[in-house]
Amino acid sequence: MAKTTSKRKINLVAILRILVYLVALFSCVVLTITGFFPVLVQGEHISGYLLMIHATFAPVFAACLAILAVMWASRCRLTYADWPWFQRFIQWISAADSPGEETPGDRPCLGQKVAFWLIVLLALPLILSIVLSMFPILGTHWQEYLQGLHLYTAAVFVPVALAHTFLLIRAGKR
Amino acid sequence: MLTAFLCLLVSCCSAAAADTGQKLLGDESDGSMAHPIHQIPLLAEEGDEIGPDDDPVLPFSTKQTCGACHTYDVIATGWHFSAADANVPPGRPGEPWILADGRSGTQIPISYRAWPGTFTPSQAGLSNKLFLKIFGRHLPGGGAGELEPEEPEDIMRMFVSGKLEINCLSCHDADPGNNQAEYDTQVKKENFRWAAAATSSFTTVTGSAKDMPDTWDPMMPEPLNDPKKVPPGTKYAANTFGEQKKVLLNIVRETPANRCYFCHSNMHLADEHTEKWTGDEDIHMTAGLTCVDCHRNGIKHQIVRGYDGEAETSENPLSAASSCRGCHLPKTDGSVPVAGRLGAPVPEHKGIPVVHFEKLSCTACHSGPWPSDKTALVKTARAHRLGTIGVNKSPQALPHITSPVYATQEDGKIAPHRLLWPSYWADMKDDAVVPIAFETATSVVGEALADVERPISGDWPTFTSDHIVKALNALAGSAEGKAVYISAGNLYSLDDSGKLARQQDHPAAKPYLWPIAHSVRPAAQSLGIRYCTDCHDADEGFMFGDVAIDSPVSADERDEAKKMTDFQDVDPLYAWAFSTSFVFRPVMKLVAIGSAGVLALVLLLYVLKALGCFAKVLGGKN
Repeated sequence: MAKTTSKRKINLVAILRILVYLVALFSCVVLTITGFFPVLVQGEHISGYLLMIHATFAPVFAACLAILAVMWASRCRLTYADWPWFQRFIQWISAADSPGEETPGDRPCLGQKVAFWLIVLLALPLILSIVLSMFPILGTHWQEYLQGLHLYTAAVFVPVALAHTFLLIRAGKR
Repeated sequence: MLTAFLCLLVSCCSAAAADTGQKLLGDESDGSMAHPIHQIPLLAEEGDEIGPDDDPVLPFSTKQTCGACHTYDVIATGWHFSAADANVPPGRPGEPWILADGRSGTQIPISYRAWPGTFTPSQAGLSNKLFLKIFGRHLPGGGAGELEPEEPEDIMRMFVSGKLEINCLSCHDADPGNNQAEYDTQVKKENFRWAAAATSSFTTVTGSAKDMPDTWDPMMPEPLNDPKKVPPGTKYAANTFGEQKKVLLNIVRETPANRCYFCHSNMHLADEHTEKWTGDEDIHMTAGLTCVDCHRNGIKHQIVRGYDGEAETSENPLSAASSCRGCHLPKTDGSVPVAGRLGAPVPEHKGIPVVHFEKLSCTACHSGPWPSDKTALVKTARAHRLGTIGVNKSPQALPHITSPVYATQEDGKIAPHRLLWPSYWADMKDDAVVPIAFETATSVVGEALADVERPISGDWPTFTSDHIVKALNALAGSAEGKAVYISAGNLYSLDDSGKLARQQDHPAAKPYLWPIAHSVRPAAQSLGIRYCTDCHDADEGFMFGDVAIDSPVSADERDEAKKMTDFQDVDPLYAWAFSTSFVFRPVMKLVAIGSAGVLALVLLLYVLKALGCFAKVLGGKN
């Protein structure tokens, strides 16, 4: 009975995780299109309905990222098994004994883990660059810097997110 | 033959010297910051020196007196005097002259500069002389005042009245006794030759050139038999002339603000602050600047108008540096720092997204009255004869100028404007709409609608559809095509059955708008200083205010207001939705900051864990 309940909880968590991921993915796509289209295609700052859509999905995306970070952080922590050469290097320096192998199991691969942590890292300037510009703290000069930071961070974030999704799908197929 | 050839050669050389612009004494500065003392002889129209014992005593001519040291023809190319020159680029649309007549329901924008939406005096049926009589009160002279008359009868009158020369004293006379209102009095009497002199504190002008016959000679004036018709005469105050018949004039280069205010005053009629002492001046004036600190010019008098992009059409080298950006946000990529000119603070615009500076002019946030849910009427010196004797002080006096209207300019930026809804009787031929001559329209329509009650305040009468039909029928004989009435953005005409037909939003009935820049409010009163909802709120006037449609036509026959978004390149639905979304902005900020906080904590936790691992390994533990 306890096992069934526990299994049900795990399933619910898994479903929630997938759901949040899908919402985050969808939001990311919308944000990418609405964010890059005016800049790259029209050559102007985002405004109009595109801005409204972008501003609507942005907090949704941010919240999803935060939830996913909490849900996945433990699974995605880097271990010695991910870095055999690094493990040998540390052993060589410290003359420590081999710590033993971690059981990979159904853990994410190294690429997924790296992508995950890059996403978490990049999400901070991505979110904060826009949030800070909404307060009367920084003048026009810094507003332009923040806008540039948001743009270039997003330019790196999107391929990393795409890579993470690709690796996830590939791992799922296996 | 040889002598004739040599004379010709000499005269050609002289002409060539003049063409190369040989400068007179006062055309360029010697570098001294002190004012030169103008103790100078007064010269009459023909160049003769004026003395206290002259008979007749003639008025001094600014062209001759000032022109002795300052090249008059160069000055005459200046912005204030070049309106009638079709070769001068008109630049940004500005305040027009407004021909208004309540009896005929007319208010029509007039300008020699042919700004789109205005009519030249000739298009409105005004001769140069009639234009001077109506608007000369607030003209600085020159321009239309010195045009050669078109009508044969005006040529004779010009000999009697003289030309309206550039009145240098209207700007450069710092004598507190200079009375610009006297200019209006003299212009009404057609005393053009005497008008400039009459404004000086030491000159009194009597009589009226208007009452004189065409054969009256101002150089040999003969009194008329009719004692009521007094010829123009000049009298100089005692002790005006000093040694060698020289007169001390208090002439300054830096025009006092009081002189500018005579033509460039405004009175906003939104609230009870219509008395001068209840309102505040432009913040630049309060800070110690004068008009000419920004609006500068050299001997060519190409005065800086001060708008963005002026440098593209103006030859004034300071035009770029004297705009809002020029002083407050100068380019920093030069080899020499230029910020802080005239003590201008450099704004930080904290928290304002950069897109605002692409969509809005500086004046949108900083100039004019704070936008409210309805526009208000405003009076201007040139439109409402402010400062002259006998002016109608009623707030409803015509013409009706509406402000502030936040509209998109030619450069694509939203800026505050003043707006005039034209109302005039016109002749429509093949879709082309041309005003019927003003005097014809006022006399014919005035007679047809003589029984329509006119408010004492000078406000519009109320025209019903019957009144308009009656007037259009009366005007049918004066129109080559079809007589129409333009008002309230509509074109009213008679259909085949003789009933009134209305074409809404007709292109010929578009309102005329001109951008405003004054009065600039303090930074603490700029739009957006409190929060984004100063503008982005469905209850605020910047985008959602009503722009009153002004017209004598009764409210049954027209719309009463338009929305501010009608004048901006903004989708009204988008504007409403975007403004409404600001309700959720604090929630959005909270979610974003909270999410960033959680992400940062996760990152920090696992970084610390990783550090802990390294510390253990390096410490020799597994």
